[in-house]
Amino acid sequence: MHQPLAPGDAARLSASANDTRSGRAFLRRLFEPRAPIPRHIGVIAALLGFGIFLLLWTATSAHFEHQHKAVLLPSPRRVADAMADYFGYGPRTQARIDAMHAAAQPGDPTIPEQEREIRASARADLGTLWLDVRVSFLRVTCAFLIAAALGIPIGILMGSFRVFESLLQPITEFIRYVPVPALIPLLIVFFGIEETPKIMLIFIGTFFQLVLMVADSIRRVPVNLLSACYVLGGTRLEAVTRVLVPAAGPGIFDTLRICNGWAWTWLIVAELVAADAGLGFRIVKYQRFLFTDRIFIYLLILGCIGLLMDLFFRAFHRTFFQWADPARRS
Amino acid sequence: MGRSGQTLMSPCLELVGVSKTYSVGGEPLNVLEPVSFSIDQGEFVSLIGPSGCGKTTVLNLIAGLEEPSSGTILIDGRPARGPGRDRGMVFQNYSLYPWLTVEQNIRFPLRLGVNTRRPQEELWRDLAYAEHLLEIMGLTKFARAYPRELSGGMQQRVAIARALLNRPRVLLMDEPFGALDAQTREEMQELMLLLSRLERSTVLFVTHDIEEALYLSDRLLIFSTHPGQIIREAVGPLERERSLDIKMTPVFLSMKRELTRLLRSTAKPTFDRDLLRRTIGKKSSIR
Repeated sequence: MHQPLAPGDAARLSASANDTRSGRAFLRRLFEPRAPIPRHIGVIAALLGFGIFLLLWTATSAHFEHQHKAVLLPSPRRVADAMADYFGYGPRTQARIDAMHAAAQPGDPTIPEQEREIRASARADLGTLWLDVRVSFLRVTCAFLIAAALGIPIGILMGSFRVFESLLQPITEFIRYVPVPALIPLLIVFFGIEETPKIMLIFIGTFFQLVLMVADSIRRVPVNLLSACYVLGGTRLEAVTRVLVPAAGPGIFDTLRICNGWAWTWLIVAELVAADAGLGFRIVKYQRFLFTDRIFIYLLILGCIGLLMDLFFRAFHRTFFQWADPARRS
Repeated sequence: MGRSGQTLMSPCLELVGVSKTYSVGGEPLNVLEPVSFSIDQGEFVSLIGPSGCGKTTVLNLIAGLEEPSSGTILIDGRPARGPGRDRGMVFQNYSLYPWLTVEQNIRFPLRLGVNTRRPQEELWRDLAYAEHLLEIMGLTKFARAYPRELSGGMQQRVAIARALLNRPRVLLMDEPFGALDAQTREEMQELMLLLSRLERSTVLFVTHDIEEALYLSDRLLIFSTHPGQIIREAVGPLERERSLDIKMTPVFLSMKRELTRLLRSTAKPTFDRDLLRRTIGKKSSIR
């Protein structure tokens, strides 16, 4: 073994040859560009990231509390309390129950009944939350599915045939740069204030990006894969359906994942304008009552939905695009 | 099987005055002067020459991937138009479909319309042939692996098997072993030689490696650059049965020496030798 060592190898070797616990060598290894790090360090760093975030949040909210403006930025603790209220066991609910106890005659037989009612009314808010999630999810999914159903075939055409590229690419690029919120007044004029303008807004916000990105992933397929198909006797149609589309599959799927994320952004914009339910609508409503703790809960839920969507897309990717998964490289 | 005495039959592949001119910024660029040659059934012919001599263009023209600017290409005496399954091609970069397993890659031609329209029993026979190819290529164990999990040599074997499945009249190979390391390359050469005997394939093999061409071929066509044209035709010096050791024999080496010198003489210098030599003499350079 007289091969010259790469810089990274040298660092690793010296780290193992000398004392592995020697702090300097360890740090050297940790801050080597693009070098892998031990798994437990990765986990600790990730937790640390969350920890720092919570710490900063707590510190800032403590500052606000000190100035008697706690309502502007609720502490993590108060957000957790607000969450408990959704299930009928938070401090806000408890305060109402205590007030009821204080007002009622001792030994009043309706006390347990009243207590149940108070808790039930607190849980009604959970029903609202669930309704908001459902309504918003439906809007996003509807618009996203329409955008995908139209965008994928058009993108494939644009990526496969230069004629369609010339026909559609410039106009698509143009529309893409029109800020979507600028279309809201027109959408309301055209479609009123029901579901249609909201779905249209999300659709417009994702469709044009999706088309361009699908076309791009088709164009990234190496041309020699097409040549191979032709010399094996494939027709032009088969070159598209049997080579270009499956080869671009992972790229197209990634596009869907990214566009789904954007769809949720446009959803909030759509609901800020006019709605009677939905996550975005509720956030605006809570702002009017200064229910900042509930706004935080809604933000948390939006984050979780995004995370779940991402997990779903990734699981799908792992199942159907094994061949493109870098982890499988031998 | 011989090279002579085939005058009554039309050759398997025949090129008559085939040339290619590209237009670069309005200016015509001659990449291939008119070339004419023919290959008989079962013959193994190599095109050798420096890179940029148009030998790959010749293959692309025969495969139908490009249109010749003039001339005709005949397969069994009939003009070839566009790509077709009568001409198989093996590319330097393997061109395997990464989303298909080894087995699916080899069977890929069977899923194309040209083949699915054929009678059922022929398809069954081809499926059995695919199985046979997997076996003789030593790929049975890797049938369910994806191309990226294989070494370069194995990937190229998959590509060769895929091209053979159509039972093409001519197998076109474009520097198929160019990306392989020296040991794998020799192994593949031996495999190719035995395979072409076994399948009685007609092969047109493009390479810039003189040794490889000499070892594999019945006949060699030597190309020069700018514009590409055939400057010499040579008959392979070797018996049909040959092992890798033959590369050390005097006959082989003298032929190799001769062709190497020929190719070297056609190459234009790309750097200033004299300047370098003078600089070495001075010892102290810009440093």
